[in-house]
Amino acid sequence: MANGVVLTNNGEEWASERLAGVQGAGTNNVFGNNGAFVEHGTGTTTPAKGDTATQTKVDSATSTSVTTTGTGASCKYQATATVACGSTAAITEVSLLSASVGVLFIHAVFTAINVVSGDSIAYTITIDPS
Amino acid sequence: MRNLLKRVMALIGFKPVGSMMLTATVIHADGTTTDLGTLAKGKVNMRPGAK
Repeated sequence: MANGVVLTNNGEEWASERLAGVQGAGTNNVFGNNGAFVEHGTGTTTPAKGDTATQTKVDSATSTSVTTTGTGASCKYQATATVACGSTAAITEVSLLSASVGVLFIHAVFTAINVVSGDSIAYTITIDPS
Repeated sequence: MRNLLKRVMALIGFKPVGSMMLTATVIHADGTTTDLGTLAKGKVNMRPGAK
């Protein structure tokens, strides 16, 4: 396993269509979606462009805040979500999707965070175009 | 310097470079928090044909 975060192939389609403001030739129909679903899991395989789902989903956020931060050259896309942990687990991956069981835009794998039931993890996912 | 490098990369066929970052904070059941900082970083389209 290697830690990392990728904008998936479907994520590239999403970003391009969001910039253009139109539905392109792709079949995901997500150009109107702002990436408002976050879930985490225990998968450890290095994230890849072709990923289409969280490897081993454990919990998901009940809501995700999507906004931009900064202006001009420092402007960034930012999604923030708090995922409540329902059981003891070693969390190693997080995903940004269009919806529950939706299109995977961003997939990250990282060093394990050991949690127990009642813990939460507050994630901030940032895309900086420059 | 960074902008110059990006221009050179664009001239030789590299796609524009963006980046992604994931940060996290654990909120423990007792209410205390642990800031984990940056968990992962990634580039957007670093190389032509990176897919």
